[in-house]
Amino acid sequence: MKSKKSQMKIQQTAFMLLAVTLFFALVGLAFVSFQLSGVKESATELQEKNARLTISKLANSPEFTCGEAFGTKGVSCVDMDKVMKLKENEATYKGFWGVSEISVRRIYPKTTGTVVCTPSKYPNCNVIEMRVGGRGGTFIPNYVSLCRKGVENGELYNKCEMGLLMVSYEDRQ
Amino acid sequence: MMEKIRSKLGQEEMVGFAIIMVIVFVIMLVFLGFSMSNSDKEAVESYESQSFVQSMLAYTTPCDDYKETYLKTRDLILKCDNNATCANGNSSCEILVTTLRGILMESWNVEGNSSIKGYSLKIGGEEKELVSLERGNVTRNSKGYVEPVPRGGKTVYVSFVAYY
Repeated sequence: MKSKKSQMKIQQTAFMLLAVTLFFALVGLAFVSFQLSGVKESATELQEKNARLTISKLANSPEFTCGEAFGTKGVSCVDMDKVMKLKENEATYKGFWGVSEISVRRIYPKTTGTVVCTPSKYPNCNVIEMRVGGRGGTFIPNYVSLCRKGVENGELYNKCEMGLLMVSYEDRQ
Repeated sequence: MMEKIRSKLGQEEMVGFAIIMVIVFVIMLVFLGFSMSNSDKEAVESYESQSFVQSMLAYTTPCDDYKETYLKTRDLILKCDNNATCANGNSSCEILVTTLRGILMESWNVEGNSSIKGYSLKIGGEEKELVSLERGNVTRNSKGYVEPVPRGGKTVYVSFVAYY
């Protein structure tokens, strides 16, 4: 009788120990997951900051920005005429801006299909492939105002359209 | 007899404890699953909404004024607020709505498996609402931006919210 009682006690202790261990393991797991979600949040915030800085740096660089030529002060504005000229001399900017690919896409007014801009097609095109041939990586698009000088009845006027400035930079391992 | 009752009571305690542990385990699992699903990367960043609104306001609309220049969306909003017409006789508010609808349609895809579930664009001042364009579903996750357009003591607010 006594032996059975002792066995029961041992069983109770073992079960109790097991349960307590399981409980603390779960609490630990919950704590780790909470910590990890914080790390992920910080990584996302850093990525956002980096993306914003990259695009902002590019859109406001003298080679891209409209400045005050189109009355778009304070707006991320890309001078399309400038970019088309710059495209011809892109090779001289190798390694500059710290990005592997740069392209500008007009999204409104809509153009059917993709028409890559060349000096003969411009401005009746919707994509300027400024820098191509990167090895992939994180791709960041952002809305910008695409401005150029339009001609109507022989007179110049400012024309700004909706577009995306897209850059990709290679991931750091 | 007493020994038997004590043993049975002990067993019942163990079963009770086991049930409590199972319940705690299930609650923990639900909590873990919920916290993991919430930690996905956000689909829209607030700077995206900001740059979208600012670029949209800089867009050159087909509404010309008497100075033979085409108005930007920013100026067209104020023209619409004054119920004015364009030089070619078209209603400024009609052109504003058509232009904004086109820009929104091409800029934000809310169909299919898109991470963006819906959006809302409201333009108005303290007295009246000029434009209200909505598409897709309103969800609990959103990022937005409000741009004030001041002119002559009055301010019109352009408010855009993207739901994801």
